[in-house]
Amino acid sequence: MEYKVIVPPLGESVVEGTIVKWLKNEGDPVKVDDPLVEVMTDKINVEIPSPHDGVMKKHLVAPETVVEVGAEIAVMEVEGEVEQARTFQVKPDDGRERIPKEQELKAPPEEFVGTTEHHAHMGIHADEAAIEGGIKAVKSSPVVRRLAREHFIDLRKLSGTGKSGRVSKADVLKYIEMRHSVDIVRPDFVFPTAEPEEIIPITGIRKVIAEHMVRSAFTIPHVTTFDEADMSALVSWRRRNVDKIETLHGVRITYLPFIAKAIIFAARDFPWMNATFEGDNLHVKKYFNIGMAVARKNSLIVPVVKHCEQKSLLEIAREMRELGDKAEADTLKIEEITGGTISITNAGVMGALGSTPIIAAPQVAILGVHKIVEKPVVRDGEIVVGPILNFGLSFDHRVIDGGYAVQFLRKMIEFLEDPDSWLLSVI
Amino acid sequence: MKKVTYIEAITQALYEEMERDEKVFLIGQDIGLYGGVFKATKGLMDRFGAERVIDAPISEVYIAGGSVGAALVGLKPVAEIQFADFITPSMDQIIQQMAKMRYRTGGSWTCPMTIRVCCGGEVGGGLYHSQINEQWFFSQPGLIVVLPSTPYDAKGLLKSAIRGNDPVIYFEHKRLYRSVKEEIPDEDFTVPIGKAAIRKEGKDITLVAYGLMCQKTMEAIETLEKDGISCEFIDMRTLRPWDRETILESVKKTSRAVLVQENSKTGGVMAEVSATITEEVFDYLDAPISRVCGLDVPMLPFAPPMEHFFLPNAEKIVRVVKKVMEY
Amino acid sequence: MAEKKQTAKKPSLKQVGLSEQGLMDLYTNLLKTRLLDERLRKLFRQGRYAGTYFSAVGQEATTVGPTYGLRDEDIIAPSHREIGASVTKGVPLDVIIGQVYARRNSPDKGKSHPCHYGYRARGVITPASTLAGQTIVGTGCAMGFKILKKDNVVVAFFGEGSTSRGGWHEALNYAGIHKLPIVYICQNNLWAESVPATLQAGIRDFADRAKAYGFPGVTIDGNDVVLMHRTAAEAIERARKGKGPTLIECKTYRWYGHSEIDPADYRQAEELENWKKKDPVLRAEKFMMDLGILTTPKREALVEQIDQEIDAAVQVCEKEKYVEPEEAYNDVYSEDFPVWRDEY
Ligand SMILES: Cc1ncc(C[n+]2csc(CCOP(=O)(O)OP(=O)(O)O)c2C)c(N)n1
Repeated sequence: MEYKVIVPPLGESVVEGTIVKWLKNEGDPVKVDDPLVEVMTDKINVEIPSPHDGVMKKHLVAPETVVEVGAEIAVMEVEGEVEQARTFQVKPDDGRERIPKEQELKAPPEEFVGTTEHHAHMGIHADEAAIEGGIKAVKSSPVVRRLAREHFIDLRKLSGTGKSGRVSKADVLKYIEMRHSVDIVRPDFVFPTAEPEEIIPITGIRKVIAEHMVRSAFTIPHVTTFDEADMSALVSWRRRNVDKIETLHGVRITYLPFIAKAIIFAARDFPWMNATFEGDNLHVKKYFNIGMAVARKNSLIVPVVKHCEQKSLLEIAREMRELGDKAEADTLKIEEITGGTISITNAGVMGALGSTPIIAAPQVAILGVHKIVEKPVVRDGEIVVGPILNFGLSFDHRVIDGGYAVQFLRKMIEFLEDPDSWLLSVI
Repeated sequence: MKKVTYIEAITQALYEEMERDEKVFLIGQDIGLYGGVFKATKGLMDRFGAERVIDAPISEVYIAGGSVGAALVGLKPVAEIQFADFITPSMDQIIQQMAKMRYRTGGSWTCPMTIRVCCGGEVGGGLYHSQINEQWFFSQPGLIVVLPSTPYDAKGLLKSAIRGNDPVIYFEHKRLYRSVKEEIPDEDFTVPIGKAAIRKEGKDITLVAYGLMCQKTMEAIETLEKDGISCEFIDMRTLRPWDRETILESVKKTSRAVLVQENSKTGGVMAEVSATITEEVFDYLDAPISRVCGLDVPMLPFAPPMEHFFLPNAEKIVRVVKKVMEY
Repeated sequence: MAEKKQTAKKPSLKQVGLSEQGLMDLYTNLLKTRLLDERLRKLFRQGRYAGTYFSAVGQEATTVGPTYGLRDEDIIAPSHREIGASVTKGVPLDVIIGQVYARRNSPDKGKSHPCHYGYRARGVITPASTLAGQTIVGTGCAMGFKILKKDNVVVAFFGEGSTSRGGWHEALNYAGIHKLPIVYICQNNLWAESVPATLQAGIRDFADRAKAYGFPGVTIDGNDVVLMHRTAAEAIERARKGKGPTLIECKTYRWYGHSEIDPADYRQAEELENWKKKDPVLRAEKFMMDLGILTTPKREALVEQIDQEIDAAVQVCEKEKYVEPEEAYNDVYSEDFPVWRDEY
């Protein structure tokens, strides 16, 4: 039978991509998982693997064409009966995951704005693609569709008792009832951290990065505030422990995990810094997925360390190294470069003393970290030499006031200058 | 409380309204001396005299239009059209005068009046003594259209019609005249126009009907409930303006609807009800709305097998409801 | 022709304008109508068919007289009490009874109503119940004949009550303007169901209505079949020649209720007794016996013969089945268009 190849979801908020090149020509035999086509998005280049054995019959779009997620791009001839790929639209701003601005001000900032209050409390949100996919795939009536959306149900999970297996209203109501009794583990929901198995190799995307940067730079009114941290305490702590830690744990710890933790502590008082600004709403995140910009041979990528609030310094350090290695090897997964809530970029490794970093939209802040240099500092009325780190914090001035950002940065620096007060809690 | 038939309830309403308000008068064929071909006006001429119970010539145009005129000068006419089949000549006056009087005069002239129309099948009346023709009036802004199915409603709605401020086409079903009996209060009461009656509550499916079809539907419901289908049943009573809210709310609850109509399907009242349900509460539907109607042929052929074939009945309703439930 | 209220003079064949055989035929039709009508009443009482029955007993002369002598292509536009017109126009008895029985052999295939007699082959339009309907349509037929330049005529029948309908007046008005080939027969039986003629019109003689439309109107004794025939034949001749319509009002009386379910208690018993004395059948018999054309044995033989004919026709209809229910779908449109069929 004919199987229609579609553009799969390419990461959150990505609604379209550009065909780079066909990796299987018309008439080529195809094995399952063989890459069929390379698609470039503003985030990443992906090769779309074949879901079946068969033959590439026809390309429906030429290279350079912009294609929407879900669009049919090729026809394959496959053996036997297989299910067609489910097309659905990724809606970047469908209003589900946001709270109105006013209400948000009153709501506790750490609250995850989920699908329903109940789910939000559990930190889970609906797998909308699955719900819409279910609605498309299953013959259902208007009320069933309405209930599926209201209660976040993938209709494919139900066995219908209606005519020729149709899912009826009664079937849905029964399912909801049953789900209540099982509670917690709800097959229709995904945890934000759940990661699919698929590994998609990454290829060069320099041009896309440029575009992305331009878009961020020119749509977001950037303001950068600078401040310095006296790193004496941390530098001496690290000096004393770095080798020990390396022999014990196999990681050579840098300053970045400490800075990540300082951001988290400072955000307790200034939660809006850790957020995304989408449409008319600020999504204040209660979790910290911190993007850490990594320079590669000829491009820059920002892998995301997820849930830094739940991880130790060591774990963060280890993960950063892994992500860095993957970036070098071009094996990052889409999930590993998406979902950031705030970013850090380290220009210090190159020796920079200052920079004004560009925010990774839709985040609202990026912290520029620079080289620690020996500088004269005044301590107890005396001029002494100390290790000084210069920070440049860029923030989205549409939603963050200058004073707010300045205070946040100062707070963060206070934590860095006094590591003894918190270090033990995060090792 | 006394047990009365549907037609007795109508006679009572006429009698009481004529007693109450001397502006009320009746006009129609064979209604005086004879007391009506179905005896709905029996005894009224004796009581109120030939001036207030007028035997009309065979002039349907005039019966309607003359009543409009009498209403213009302050009387409260209650006209009778002997058979709905023969209302056709009156259409001119009903549509052009009665329905549009208030509108075309900017509200300065009005014709609160009632035309009683004897209608309906299953009486062996054939092609010209079985029609209802409610859909023609149903489509006319400016008219009120009612069709009661019980003695209580027959009396209460007729009183509301006579006391109201608007022209009313009051259909009375001749098959119900003597086949239904119920206790109704001795004291004065009315039934509001524009309000449907929920005859039975249920959760699986909404059934809507009016007139004789209410009987058929109730009969069907007995069977359906035995088979475990919980039916909500709404008697429309007023066809125009019909009670959208009651019907839509019910469908929102049950998600399924079967609409029963004695008249032919095309262009009938239930076509409008069905369309409105789809427009207004589409997202609540779990199955297509289905109608059980008279055949799409002239209402209604005489020979008994055809009459039976034409009309909706309990068996047909049961079959359709089950089909909808199985959907 | 112009003056009203003619009455039958002492009989002579010449005056009648019919041959002996012709007169005999006229009488036979009258008798057949009577016997058939009485038989159908009896069959209704026995519950042999559904619906109801509109008897025309007492007023047979008003339909038999004018119809006798018409051509097959001439059109009868009847109302609900014109069994005599069908009998006289030569519609087979099993067809007439078939209509009442509403069986498969009924010309309308059971669609319409008993007593709505029609038969295309003899030019009888199956009526609608809406009174005066066929008077209007019949006038249209006459208009058609005129346009087609045919020398056919239309005879339209209705009761005095039906003349109260606006449409009736529109039709006669038009026929007067265009001098259409039509003869209007108003059977004034004094009652329209329960409503007396005095509440139907402000005039005593309904023939007066013709004045308003510019053609002759005559009022005659409707229980004299010879007079009915002669007067109508003259009007028909006029119409055929293009001289326009005539309204003939015939005073008559129905013996029984409006239909078989009407006790007719609105009438005085005396009134009925007086009219029974003017029985059109007895009067015709007397007339013919006076002329020496009819004898009692001859009459009895005729009755027996007609009864057998009726028996045979009733037999046919009794054996006939009802149509299949699906017959309901036929004849809504020509074959060009289907009818929507719902499966329930
Ligand atoms: C337009 C119309 N109105 C009312 C009726 C009901 N109806 C049937 S017969 C009849 C009386 C008819 O009287 P008339 O025309 O004098 O004829 P008759 O019955 O006396 O022969 C009435 C009122 C009808 N058939 N058509």
